[in-house]
Amino acid sequence: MSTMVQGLVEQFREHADKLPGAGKARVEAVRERALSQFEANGIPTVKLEDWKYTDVRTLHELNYVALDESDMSDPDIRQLSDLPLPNFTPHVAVFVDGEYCAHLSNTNALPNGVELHTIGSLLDCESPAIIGHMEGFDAAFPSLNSALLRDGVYIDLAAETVLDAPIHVIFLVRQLDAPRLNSARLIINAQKNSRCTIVESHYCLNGAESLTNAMTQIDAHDGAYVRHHRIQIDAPATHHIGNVFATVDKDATVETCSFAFGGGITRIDVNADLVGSGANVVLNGLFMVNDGQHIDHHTRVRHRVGHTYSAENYKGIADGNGRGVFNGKILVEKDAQKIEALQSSKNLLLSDGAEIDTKPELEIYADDVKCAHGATVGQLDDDAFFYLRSRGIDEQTAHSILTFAFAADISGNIDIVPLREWLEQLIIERTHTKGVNEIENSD
Amino acid sequence: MASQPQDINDFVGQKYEAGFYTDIEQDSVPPGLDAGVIEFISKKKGEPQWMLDWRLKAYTRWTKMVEPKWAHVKYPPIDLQAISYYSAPKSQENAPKSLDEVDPELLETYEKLGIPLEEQKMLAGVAVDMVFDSVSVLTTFKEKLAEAGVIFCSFSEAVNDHPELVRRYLGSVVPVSDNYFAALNSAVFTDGSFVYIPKNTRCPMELSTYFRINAMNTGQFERTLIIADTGSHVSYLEGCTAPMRDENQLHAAVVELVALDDAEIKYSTVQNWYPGDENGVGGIYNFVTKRADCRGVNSKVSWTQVETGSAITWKYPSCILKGDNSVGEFYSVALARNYQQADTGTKMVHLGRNTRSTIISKGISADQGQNAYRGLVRIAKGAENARNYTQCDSLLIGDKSGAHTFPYVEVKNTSSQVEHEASTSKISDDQLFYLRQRGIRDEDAINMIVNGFCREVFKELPMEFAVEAQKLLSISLEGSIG
Repeated sequence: MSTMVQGLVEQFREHADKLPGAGKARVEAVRERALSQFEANGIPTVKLEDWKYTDVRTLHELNYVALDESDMSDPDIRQLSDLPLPNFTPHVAVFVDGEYCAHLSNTNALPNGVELHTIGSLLDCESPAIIGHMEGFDAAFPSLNSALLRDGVYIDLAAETVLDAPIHVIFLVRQLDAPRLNSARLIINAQKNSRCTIVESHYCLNGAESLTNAMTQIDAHDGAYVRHHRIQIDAPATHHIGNVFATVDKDATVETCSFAFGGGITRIDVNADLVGSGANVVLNGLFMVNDGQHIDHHTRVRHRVGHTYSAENYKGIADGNGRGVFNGKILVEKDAQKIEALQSSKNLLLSDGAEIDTKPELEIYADDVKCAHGATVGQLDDDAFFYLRSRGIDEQTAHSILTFAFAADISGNIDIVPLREWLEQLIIERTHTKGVNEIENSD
Repeated sequence: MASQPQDINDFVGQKYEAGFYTDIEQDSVPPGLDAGVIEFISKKKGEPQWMLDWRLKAYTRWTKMVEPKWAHVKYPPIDLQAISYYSAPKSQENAPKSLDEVDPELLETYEKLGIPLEEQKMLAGVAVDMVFDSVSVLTTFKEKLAEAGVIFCSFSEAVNDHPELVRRYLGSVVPVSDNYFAALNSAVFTDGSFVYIPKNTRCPMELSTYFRINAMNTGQFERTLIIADTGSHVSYLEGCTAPMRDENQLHAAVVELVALDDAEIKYSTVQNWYPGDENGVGGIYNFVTKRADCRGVNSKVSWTQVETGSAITWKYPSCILKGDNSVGEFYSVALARNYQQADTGTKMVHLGRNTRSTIISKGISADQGQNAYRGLVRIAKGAENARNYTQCDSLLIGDKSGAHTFPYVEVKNTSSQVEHEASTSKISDDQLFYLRQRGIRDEDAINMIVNGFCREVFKELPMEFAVEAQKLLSISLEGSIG
């Protein structure tokens, strides 16, 4: 057993009584089951097909602190506007090191029909809604999240409710004395014909050494429409594991867009289950890696019934000695006819030290389907580059413009203008990292 | 599915036509595998000590390996101790020098397949190295080839007559410990083909081997080694059929190709091993390791395969593009019907500069058939200006069939370009309707569409082979294509 697994199991044995819901039989039982599942699986290794390109060995030897109390009196964040985060909505829920931070959050203005609970409070009252969401995972990290679950957000939209403005859920990680493991969880329960946009941000303050194990669960019931944007910006010593699970019912739509700007090791799994006819899922993603970064996206779309649709568009930009990984799987189950599934993975490889690994998979057990996928790995177009240069644009700018144009395909889908502009700014900043000399050499 | 014309369902109902069994006395060892069996095989074949040592090394490595489970296929566990590792036709002692001397029953076997040797001899001057079970019993056109300096013989002959070439190249492309089945093959292979094309020589004819699995309970372990020396060119044809049998048989071959500077090898396969009956009983397990090493500058290797047979196919003809400007190509049609399962594809490993590779894979799944494409394109750091284009399409016939794609793309070089595209669909009703309203029968219409679907691959086959391949596909699917 690795140091990490051992350390976490010991901490659980010692501190489980301080977790929310302690003493409640059902909560404790579900935590125990999840922990033994985690113990059985251990931390994945590259020998597992799913982790072939992502080596999390560095995590094994670290002894993360997962269960001590964090010091919420720390005054270093007085107000949200001090942080370099976009401001586009009145509805904000903020978590610092995994715990709800009331003085930075604002949930008073939510319209009728929209309820926002902290998961800590739901655990304390042994709510069946939360217990139901803690079970049924095989993989190591979701199980670990359930075992150590302390806080997070549960958003419930009543039938026919339309959320006026997006809810921004922010998970902040601070620099602490010991490396920390944060379990973040966001649950969106969109009932019949409701509509909402939820933005989930993971942001790391001042280079914190930590591991975030985040989980998002989206239940889109009949006719619901859920938009979910996920943004991750971490420091080099911050590792990030994200799992998104979406269940899409009859005529419902879930759109999820993942922007990963990396930390140390970033691994994001997006799982969508299409369970009702007419269900539709749109998965978009953009990642940018540079020196010392590793970003791995795994998407799994499972068409369980007929007449369901999925479209997937992922783009990756790898520079420096960064490594980007994309693995997309489309699974069409037996008798799920009349399926349309499209998937595209396009990648830019900008530096010789960088690497892109992409694996778009199709697994199809029904015949009346239209499924296609495409994957490319290439460079900026020489002709386009020449065109810009011939107009007197310097190499650095031309490089930036073309890289940005490649990425803007994904960011352009964001219809919250301030958020989009903020993201575009981030992308542009990241296209500037390459020196002119390097460009000359690469030609 | 109710709306689908009856013909589509009939289309896949064809029985295996090459199912018969030739009764020839066998010279076999009892089932089981240990070092003793390997020594027996080696002794039986009169091999030198180095060959035996090599086999035993492979055996030692194999005993430490476990059977791989990652392929997208399901089958009951194989008991390798229940297989007999050596069987050879009795008449081996007095091997025939001409067709007249060949066991008439053997000739009849080939006759039934529709490829009589006589006819083939005339057809395009094809030299045929027949592998009947494990030992070559006949090699034609040897003299003509010898004139050109081409060595084309059975593997055991090569071991004795050209040990310097065999020692130099054997295992240099597929090392003994490469994978479980390759290691097994290295330990127990009984025969196969050996080809050497000397410098600046264009092989005067297309070389062909007909493989057949014949005796009950004999796994067939073929070893093929083709070396194309500087500036040479060769086209090699491999075709397989097997008689009907109710017990699964294992076929674990290893094919190694070496292309030196400016050399070109074209390797074409039509594979029609017994696929099992309509209930999924019986059939051949085809676990093959095929790899080409484009060692030289400007070398080229092209794999073309038509896979219609075998209960389970597990095969990835690959190219290691080591030489600068080398080219790798892979063209494949794989058909899986009834309960057939195929997990096939290729690996293109780009190491040299300006290396190029093309992958065209067409999978057809019918009935309960499961067809998977698994491919790897790896561009190493030093592979400047490497290019790859991959296209893999799947056609589904019947709502219980499955088509899967697992492409791996790994790129470490900024000046390279890799493209992959794949699609999966059934025969569209619009296409069928269009052809039918022009007075074309359903069956012909489907044949036409399937043929069109595979056209890009068929056109890569040598002419005579392309005809045979189309015929095989039509027989496999219904019997009226082409």
